[in-house]
Amino acid sequence: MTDKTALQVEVEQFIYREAAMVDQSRWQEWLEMYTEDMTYWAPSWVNENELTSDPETEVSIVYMNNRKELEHRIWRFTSGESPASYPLPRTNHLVSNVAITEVSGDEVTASSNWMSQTYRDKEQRLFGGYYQHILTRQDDGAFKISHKKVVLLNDVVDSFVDVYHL
Amino acid sequence: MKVETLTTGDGGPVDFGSFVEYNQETKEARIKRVALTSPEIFDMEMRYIFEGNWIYLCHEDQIPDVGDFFTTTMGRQPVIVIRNKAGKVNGFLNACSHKGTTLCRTQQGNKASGFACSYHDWCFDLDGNLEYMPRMDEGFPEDKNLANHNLTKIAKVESHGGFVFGSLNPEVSSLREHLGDITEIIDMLNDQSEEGFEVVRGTNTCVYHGNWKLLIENGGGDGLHLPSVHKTLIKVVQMRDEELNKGKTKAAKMVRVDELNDKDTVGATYAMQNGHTLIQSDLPNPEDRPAYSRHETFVERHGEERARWMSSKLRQVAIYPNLFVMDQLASLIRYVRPISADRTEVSYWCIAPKGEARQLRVKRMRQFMDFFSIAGLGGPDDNHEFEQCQVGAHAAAAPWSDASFGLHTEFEGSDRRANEVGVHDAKFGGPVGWEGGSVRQYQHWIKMMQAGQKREMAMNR
Repeated sequence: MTDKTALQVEVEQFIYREAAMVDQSRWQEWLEMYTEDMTYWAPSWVNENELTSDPETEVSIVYMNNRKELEHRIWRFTSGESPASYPLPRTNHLVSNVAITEVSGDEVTASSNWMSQTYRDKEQRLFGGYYQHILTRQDDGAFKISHKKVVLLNDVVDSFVDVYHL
Repeated sequence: MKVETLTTGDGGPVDFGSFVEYNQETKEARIKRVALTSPEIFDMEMRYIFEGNWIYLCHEDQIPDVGDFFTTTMGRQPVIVIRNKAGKVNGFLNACSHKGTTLCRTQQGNKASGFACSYHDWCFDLDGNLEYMPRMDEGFPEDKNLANHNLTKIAKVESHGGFVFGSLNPEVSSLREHLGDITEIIDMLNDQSEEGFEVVRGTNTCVYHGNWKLLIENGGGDGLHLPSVHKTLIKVVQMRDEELNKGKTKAAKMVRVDELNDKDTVGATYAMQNGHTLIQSDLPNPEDRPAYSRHETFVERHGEERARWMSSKLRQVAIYPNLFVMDQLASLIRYVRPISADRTEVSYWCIAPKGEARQLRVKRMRQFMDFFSIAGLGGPDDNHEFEQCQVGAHAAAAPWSDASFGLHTEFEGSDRRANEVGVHDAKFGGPVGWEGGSVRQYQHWIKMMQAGQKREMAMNR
């Protein structure tokens, strides 16, 4: 296996594992896949074909720039006290078309396509879009997510979405 | 499922007056839930309220230049709101006069050179006049009156402080009369900036599976649901504050919703004219909202009391039937578009002073998304409750919702604080959480439904 192929496999396996952590409700392990100073950004649509480009000054669906915020969010939707997230839906994330777009020092940038199928209250919902991951090699050699961008194709959703749908 | 019969006899009138009971002696009120579930009533609401009176359409900042348009619906009718050559905002049904084809097919865009229907190339100017069609001189006699084929105008389009309203029914009062002293609250928002307000780029829209009135009454006066529905938001606010104190997060400090509306808070809910409502309440930590940085300027220009409302109070108006102007945990337009008795589209548009300093804008955006994004920490829980109310409203053996909280404390007219900022035309008021707000909304609803039904029956006679 060439280095390039090995890296491709490593990145793919990492991204698949992230999806599995969500689908298996292994929230603590999911959280630990992110760096402490991570950013997580799901931009909003400006019009039919254009997304917002600045999470700091424009509207997003989700924007977090610290892992604490994800931790709070996970607490919220697993607490059983947020009506929107109780009971949590069953989720099934499919990720494909994983392509490494940039390698720079400790950082690997990868794009992929995703679909999620969720089920709750006798209702099936389907979401999809694109991911961009920036994975940063840690001291122990393992990757962590320092940046994740989620593009959701919908600009109108039924009721609401949360990070477990995306 | 057996649904309560709404008509008396063969097509006879619906007894809308029976939908609200308010016992003045016991100070108890209740509202009939069938108003949420009946498709027949929904149809009448569309005709009598949404297609028969003033409704909100869009913000002028969404159509700043000549030819800029915004598409939406009035009731069930697709419409275009567009700025003409003279800079005036016009509205038309989004239907070509030929075959009814839509002329504008995106949410926003520009038609500075006029509308050309893509089906048969009939062309209209920005005032809706038919200007051209292919082979015009072959198809019709010379004396053909093309004015009969102009686009159908929205009968009334007016705006106040950037908020554009329209009515398909020409026989309505002026917009100023319709809004009454609610205009003071809109002005307080706009007076936060010399350059005016803009609608920040990016939309957040969702469709909840419930009736539109559930949201209108929730945002119109329900200050009771905060500690229950939003208890996880409150906890996140507290957790975030701890982390901010430790320097462990870069998120914006949120309004301390856990300290909102406690016994010492000065606040009130007012039922205004024409079904509108206003909630005002002191913010526990106004210094964490972007407008507060200009408090001293507000005092100089507008005096202490008005400045306090502008920078340190939560202000939320529900402009009946489809608009919230909110300056509270965040600043936003919440736009309500009924789709059917059990489907309602809600759009959240963040609003901000033009040219705002970057650090304030960053804070503003975070506070907006914390609560009001479709993945926010607040809005989703509200939507879910509306959906569950909609399910429960089908429990026809229990036909009434209670709306009595705080009725024994209600007062008539505006109180001193409202009067001090020019809000004189409140009809009733009460503490935050007072359910008179929703009762008065429904009483206005009854009035409109009765008037619409009467008008229609007179026409059909």
